[in-house]
Amino acid sequence: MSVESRLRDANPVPNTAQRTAASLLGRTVRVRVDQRISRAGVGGWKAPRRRPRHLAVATTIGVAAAAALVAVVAGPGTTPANPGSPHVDGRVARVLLTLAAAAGVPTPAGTGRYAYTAFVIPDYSGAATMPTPSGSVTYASYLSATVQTWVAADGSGRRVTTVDPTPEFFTAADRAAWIAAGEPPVPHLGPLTTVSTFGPGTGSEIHSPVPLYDVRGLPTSASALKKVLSATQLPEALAAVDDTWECSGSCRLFQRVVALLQGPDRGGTAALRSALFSVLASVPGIELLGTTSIHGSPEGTGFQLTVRTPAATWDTYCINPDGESIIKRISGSTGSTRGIVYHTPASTQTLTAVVDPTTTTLVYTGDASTPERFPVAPEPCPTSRPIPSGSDGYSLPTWQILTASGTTSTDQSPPTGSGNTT
Amino acid sequence: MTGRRDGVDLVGGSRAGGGAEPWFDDLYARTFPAISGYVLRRVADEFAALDVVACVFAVAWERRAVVPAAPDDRLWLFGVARRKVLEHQRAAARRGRLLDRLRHEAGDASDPDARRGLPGDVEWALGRLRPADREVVRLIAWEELTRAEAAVVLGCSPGAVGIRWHRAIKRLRRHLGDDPAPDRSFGPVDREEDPDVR
Repeated sequence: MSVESRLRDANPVPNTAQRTAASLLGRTVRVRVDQRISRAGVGGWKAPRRRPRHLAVATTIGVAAAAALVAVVAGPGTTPANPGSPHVDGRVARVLLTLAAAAGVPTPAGTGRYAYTAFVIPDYSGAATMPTPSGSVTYASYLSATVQTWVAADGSGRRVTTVDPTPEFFTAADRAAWIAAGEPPVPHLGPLTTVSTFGPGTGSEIHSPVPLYDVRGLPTSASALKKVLSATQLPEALAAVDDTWECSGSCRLFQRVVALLQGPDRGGTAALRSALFSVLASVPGIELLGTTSIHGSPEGTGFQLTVRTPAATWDTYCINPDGESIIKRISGSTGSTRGIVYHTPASTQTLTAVVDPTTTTLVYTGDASTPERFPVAPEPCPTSRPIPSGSDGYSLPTWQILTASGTTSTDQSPPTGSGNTT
Repeated sequence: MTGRRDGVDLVGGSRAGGGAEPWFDDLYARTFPAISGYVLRRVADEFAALDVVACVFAVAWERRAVVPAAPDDRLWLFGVARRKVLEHQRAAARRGRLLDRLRHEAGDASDPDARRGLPGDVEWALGRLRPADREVVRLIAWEELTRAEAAVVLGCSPGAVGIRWHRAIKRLRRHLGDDPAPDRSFGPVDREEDPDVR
């Protein structure tokens, strides 16, 4: 048999006349298309300019057997979110526009060949100590990692990630439980220090907890920039901006803007940073926290956006991918007694940014959700596969603290005296 | 039970064909089989694949001003699908790296790539191709595109697609120990546009 024939036979999803737009699968996906269009506010045909809605968090669930697909759709239990329409607070906007006027380049100008940044982030790779829904682990700990990045003008560079093995805890009770357990070391998977290099043009491919953004193509007019950053899909060079969390409307715009303000980036200018602050000033719902420091970050002016997601009930459908039949349908309701949770509790997502008012550098960004653990384990469709990673329902807080920045002539060491947000 | 939200019949009949937007309904009806097949072949998690397909068509709606007229809109959608699949794979790769480290810690020293089929299998052989070559093979063999169409999707010249195709087939033959005689009945060949096959 020829290679071509073997290739044709190896097609994992053969083209079939049954998989049409009018099939059950096609209609199910179409509903999801409609939902995406409505929630993204991209001129959906039903309500093109309705006020932003906060949407139920899509639960992740077990995967169906090879012959089945799973569709989870919001059922009749979904309730409207956030009854009050968020608005732009004039005081917040004034503070942000002041920052826009003062915005400088993200790293100080200098003669160095490399722009340098150092961020501290939580490291959850010692996942063995994370709490589990069964409560088998009684304390939650995490480690901290420092991510140092050197970026040359051509976009090439070097990154060193160093994990501090000293455990940290979310609460005093967690720390007390750890001490009571004999202070066992927190396991870390892999080496404590990793070094990577990247070549010109590949920096935007860095998809790590601290991505590198190629911002050279962004407009510096606030209105044009807002249009770009409000779109459902960002330019490919900025795809990593949306890596950390998926949300919509004001939440998405806030998240994208603070990510780009914080960097690290390639091609950032004072004009772009000014436009970013101007866009942020137009985002409804932002609150001013005043002068603050979070997780030991440098002190600065804090801003916060809170997104409330209502409780929701979900229906789960297991559908034959090339047929018309529903293999299995599970209608969820609150208070299931079979150990299967169909109800997504109401949750609150908080996005936080702290800006150094002198340098206009973002010294802290954070993203947390309450409750931190979603009990989301709807009954899977018939399956022999394990539930894939990312489906465990955890929602752990993330943050990035900028501890140093500057320019340097070498990619082997920080700039002299880079200190905190030089 | 049939769920209903915003007036949309969630299972029994969505807006497809419901008169919401004739242009979009037509686009969806014509291209859903091809686009859903493309995504389902590349996203192993079937649940995630649903989301990726939906995302592709949501992008089409958002960018309706620039979507080419039929029949070129199909190739344009393939391009969007390709980017969306890549985005999904990047995110999955990050999770995969953590899983691999977990497996390593747990004493499972097996090479994760080794799980992609056995030596001699087509899946194994495909996994040994350069990513760009592999995508050309898939587009022509599985999506049934011509080389010119694959070039549009990939944003390169038909000649480049021809080069990748021949390079891939050559390597596949070596990996699979296959009959060297090519099967010309397989896949349309754009001879006029592909200098590589002259």
